[in-house]
Amino acid sequence: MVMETTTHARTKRLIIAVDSNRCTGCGDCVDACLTGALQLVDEKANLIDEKSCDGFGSCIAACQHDAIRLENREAEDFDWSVLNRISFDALMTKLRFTSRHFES
Amino acid sequence: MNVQWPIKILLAHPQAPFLQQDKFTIAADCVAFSSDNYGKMVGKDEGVVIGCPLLEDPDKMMSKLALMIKETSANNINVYTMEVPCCHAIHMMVEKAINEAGKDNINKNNYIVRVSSGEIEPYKPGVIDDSMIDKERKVHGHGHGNDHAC
Repeated sequence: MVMETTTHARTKRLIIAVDSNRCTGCGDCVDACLTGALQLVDEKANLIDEKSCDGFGSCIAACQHDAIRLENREAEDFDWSVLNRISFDALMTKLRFTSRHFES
Repeated sequence: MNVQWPIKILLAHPQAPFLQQDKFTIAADCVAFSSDNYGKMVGKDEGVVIGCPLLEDPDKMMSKLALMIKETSANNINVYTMEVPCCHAIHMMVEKAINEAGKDNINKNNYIVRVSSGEIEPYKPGVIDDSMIDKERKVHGHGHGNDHAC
C-alpha cells in the first residue's frame, strides 16, 4: 500500500507577485499579511511561502508603491489550516495595523 | 421588529432593543451584499450587527462585542463572515466574548461565505478539517475571474 505524502497540491490560482523594482522595502505588506506569507529579504518584499498566500490581497491594499499585484499562475494550494495556527493576539496585532493604515 | 439601526458594531448601543431578541446575528460587512444566499437564511426576528475587522479598530470591536454579548438576552448567536483570514477574527472575537460573559450554554452557529461561489457553509473556528480544505481547493483551484481584496 502506497502511503500518501503531505505534499501540497499545485493548481493554477491567484497569488501575489512583487515587483522588486518598485518595492522600497518599507515592510507595510509584511505587517499587513495576516498569514505570514511575506518577509523582507535583502530589503525587498518576498513571498516566502506560497501555501500561506490566500491571494486575497491585504498586502496589495497596504502597499503604497504599487509594487504588488495578483497573477494567475500555478502555485501551491492555500493551506487553509494556517488559520488554526494564528493566535487571537497575533491576529489582533495585524488588524491594528491594517485598520490604522486604512484610516490614514 | 421592523427597523434595526444603527447596525454597525462600533455604532450600535449594546443595550439596543433589537439585540434582545431570541436570535442575535453578527456578520461581516460584505456578507449581506456579496450574494443572495444570506438573505434566504436570516430570519425576520433576528437582531443583526455588522463590522469589518480589517478596516475598523479591532480593539473597539472586541470590547463592543463583549458588551453586546454580555447584555443580550438572545439564546442563539449566529456568526456569518466571508471565508478570508481577516474575517476569521470576528469568529474568534465572538468566541472570546461568549467565554468572558460566561454564556457557555448559548447556542452558537458559525458560517462562512465562499468568496467565489457565494455558498454559505457551517464553520467551526479552530477546526479546519479535510472537507474544508477540499472545498477550498475546489473553490479556488480553477483560478479566479475577479481580483479580491481581503
